[in-house]
Amino acid sequence: MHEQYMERFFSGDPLAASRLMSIVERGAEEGEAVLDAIFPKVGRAYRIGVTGLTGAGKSSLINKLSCSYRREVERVGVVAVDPTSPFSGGALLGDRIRMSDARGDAGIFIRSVASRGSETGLSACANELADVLDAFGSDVIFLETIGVGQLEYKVRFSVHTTLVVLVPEAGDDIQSLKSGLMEIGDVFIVNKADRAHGDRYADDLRSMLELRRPAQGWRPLVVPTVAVKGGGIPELVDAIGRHKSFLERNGGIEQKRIEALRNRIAMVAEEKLKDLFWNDRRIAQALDALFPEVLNGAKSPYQAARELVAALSIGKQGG
Amino acid sequence: MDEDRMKQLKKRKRAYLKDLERCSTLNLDFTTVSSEPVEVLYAPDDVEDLDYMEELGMPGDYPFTRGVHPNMYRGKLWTMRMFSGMGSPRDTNERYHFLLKSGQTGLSVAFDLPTLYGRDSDDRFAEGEVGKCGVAVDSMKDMEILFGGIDLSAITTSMTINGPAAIVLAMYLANGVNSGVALRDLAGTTQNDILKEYIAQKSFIFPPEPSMRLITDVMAFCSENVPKWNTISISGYHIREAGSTAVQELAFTLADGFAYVEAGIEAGQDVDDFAPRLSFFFNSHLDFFEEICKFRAARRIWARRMRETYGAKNQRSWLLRFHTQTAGCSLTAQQPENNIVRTAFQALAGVLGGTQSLHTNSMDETLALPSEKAVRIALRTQQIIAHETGVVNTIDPLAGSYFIEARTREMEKAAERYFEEIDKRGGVIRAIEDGFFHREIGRAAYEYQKAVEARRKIVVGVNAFEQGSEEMDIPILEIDTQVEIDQVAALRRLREERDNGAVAEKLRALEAAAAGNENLMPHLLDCSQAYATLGEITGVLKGVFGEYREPAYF
Amino acid sequence: MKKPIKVLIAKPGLDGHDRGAKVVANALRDAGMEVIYTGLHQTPEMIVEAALQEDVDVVSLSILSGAHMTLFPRVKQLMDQSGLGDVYLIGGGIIPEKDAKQLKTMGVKEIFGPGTDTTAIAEFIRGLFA
Repeated sequence: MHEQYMERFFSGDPLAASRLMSIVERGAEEGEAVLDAIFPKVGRAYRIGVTGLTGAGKSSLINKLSCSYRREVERVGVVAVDPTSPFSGGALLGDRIRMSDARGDAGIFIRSVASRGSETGLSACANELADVLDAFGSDVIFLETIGVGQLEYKVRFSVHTTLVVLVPEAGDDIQSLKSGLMEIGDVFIVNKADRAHGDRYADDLRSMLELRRPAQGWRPLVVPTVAVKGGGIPELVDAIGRHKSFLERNGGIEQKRIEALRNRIAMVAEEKLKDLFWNDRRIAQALDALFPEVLNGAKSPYQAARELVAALSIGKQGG
Repeated sequence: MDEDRMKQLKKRKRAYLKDLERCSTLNLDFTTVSSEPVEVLYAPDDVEDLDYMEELGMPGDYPFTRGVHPNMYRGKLWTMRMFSGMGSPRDTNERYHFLLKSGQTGLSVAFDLPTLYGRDSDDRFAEGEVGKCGVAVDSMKDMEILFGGIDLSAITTSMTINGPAAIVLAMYLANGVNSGVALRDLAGTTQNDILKEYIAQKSFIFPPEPSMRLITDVMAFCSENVPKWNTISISGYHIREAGSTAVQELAFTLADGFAYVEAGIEAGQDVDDFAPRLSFFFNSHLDFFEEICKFRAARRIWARRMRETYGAKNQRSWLLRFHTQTAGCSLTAQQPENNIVRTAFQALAGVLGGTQSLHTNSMDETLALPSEKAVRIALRTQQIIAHETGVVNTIDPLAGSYFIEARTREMEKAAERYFEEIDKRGGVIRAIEDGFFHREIGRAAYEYQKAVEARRKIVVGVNAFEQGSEEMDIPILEIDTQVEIDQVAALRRLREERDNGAVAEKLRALEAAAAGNENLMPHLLDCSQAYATLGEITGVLKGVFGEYREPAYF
Repeated sequence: MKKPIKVLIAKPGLDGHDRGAKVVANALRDAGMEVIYTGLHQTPEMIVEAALQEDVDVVSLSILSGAHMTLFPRVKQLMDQSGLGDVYLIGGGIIPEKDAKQLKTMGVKEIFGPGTDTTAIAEFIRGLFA
């Protein structure tokens, strides 16, 4: 069914883009067919990941940033992820509401998506949705993660610049920040900086980052903002711009592209392998046979796993 | 009660409660409508240490738990104030003349939605809304029509307006002066409670800080020039309608009140200059005793805080005077006649809680704007309470009930816990920006809905005692769409006929003043006199102050 | 992958009463749907834009101000113009029976009055896709 949309998509019809994203969300062969078809057009957009704790103001920042970028570029895309309820499978996708300035502008395409059990802080298909927006001609794309701890850092894999959003209360003690967060940020935002200790927090953060060895020669920047009021947004745009030129000077853009594509192939292949593995009748049979032995202590889980994998290759050779 | 008797009582009560465990209990929810647990029995031990003089006192005595006036309803019944206003300024004016001829001395203005948002009738957001839920006021011209032929020195006017309250008040005052009445003789009330707009009602325009400045400007201007004006009616009604519990309504409303007092003091005003002109507006919901305790607790908390924390010396600053409206959200579309009964109980709770004025809802409000017959029955309900039930004969008749006094105290304590929480978050405005109130209220509303759907709470006619398909025989009021067409035409005419050079000049002066620190009220009066429209004035202020967009938390 | 039903809950116009909209949003989430709430004060254009970008299956308007006879037809018209004729439009609020009937003839799929059980709303929506 995607064919009916392709031509309209390439001629800039937002409804076609939206419908194609739904097909991608549903996955399966149809979804991959869309991704195949758009791939030649993917790769033009500058991708910005936005991560940080819940309530730090990620959506409000994207709201102001996307409006700011829109003054210079034709199209901005936003993929905003909210958590799926583990109980009902439903979700309240609340990011859009906080993008009140952006949503009146047809040049800003906001797509909300539920995490649907993905552990990465991104939805299983957030990167793919960004691809659709990329091929649709977005110049800048924001990927917003849900703030869920360590695993969200995978956001970095498919973006050019990673913004980490913090608030002064997030633990007045900078030292207590998760080290993972400190390592992935290209730009650190101290949002709600007009609160008590906002300045001191930003200073502490700066001095702490100075102690670290800059990764690949980039020393992360710290920008205080008051997103709801638009405070610090020009400075933030400037900081992102500086990181972008840094990447451009050092071949970082190409390097990121290579990494992202490698990662994507690996991830997709792993997924497929997993599907293949668990859908294989031989594996099911072997597991049925092995499991009682693990239960009664005759075999360790490791032994069983080795034999399970072996069953696949033996079967192959035999077949 | 002496110590021995108390010991005996406690022992007997323990035994009694033990015995109760063997009794069978109905499978119903015995919590209040706010889901607060209630004990099966209250006895003297629940209020063992009650200090009458300290906690209750005489009516009219600090801390006013029993009422703000020494003689309460023997001196003066509550004001039966029915909120109304709809259609064009001319229709409303006719209605006012009728009401005044029938002996009413106070007018109450309901504005339509565009006016509440500071928008003109030809604004793109106004389409379909002009004159719908109230009257449209675009400029002082409409004030002239609305109050045409009425002696403004002889009446009081209550205006339910918040976001643009300062502007609409300026239009009212300017028109009053033009009609020959001095500012000091104009009397009335503006709701002007912007904090609850952010929390619940949502008709905000500007961000909180400039909004608070407009309010302190109104407070300062009125205490100097319009001393008979009640500047803010601090409202819990809408917080409750948004789904809060009784304690949340109590706590959030009083916290808003404290925030206004603090803003006034910070702006350099003497608390006793403005505090006597603050009043309150509460909801009266279905849980009879919980509501009565809420009103009693509110008076006590306010009095103590005003005297002890803010150092108010004038006794009038300590008084929590309040208007009550029965709970619109408790009315059902199913079997609407039952709403008459609900409203009657709620009204009774308001009276037993010592309200100064009361609005009773009409049975058909969940279906459409109220019809005349429904409004009449609602008013008659109040008259029956006042003249037939005998509840006005003695003051605060439920005082001294173990249950009432224990619950009043508990609600006071629960409110204090909320005050601490709000303080910890950096005050009311911070808590608004953090979505604290939205989350608290949203959770309460959803929990209540789930309780109803699980039939843990019974709503007659909705989840029990249903009647199947019912034929409605309540006439439904409809507003003519011609109102909007005429109002827009009149507005366009005004823009052509007035001196547009003068309008531009006054608006520029307003803009400059808004960017600085001076009191904006004189400028708003000037703009009104030049017939600048509400939308134009609001537009200029938006340019300086920005617009508020609510953070989404739910 | 099975995609949950996606619903846009919108508050058009100036009416600020969002208790019902939020309760319904929560209930539909709990019924396993993905719910986008637009927030207050949306123009019909903004609502349809959101419906388009999010590719929702259902648009639900909540109106308590009395402006439903203006706002529902406007949203429906814009949806049709934007190619969203296949997306269901439903709604709720204080809407007299007579108006509800008329709105249904104009392509509004269902109107839920005050006091409607939220599970009934969820079931109705599920029924549309059964």
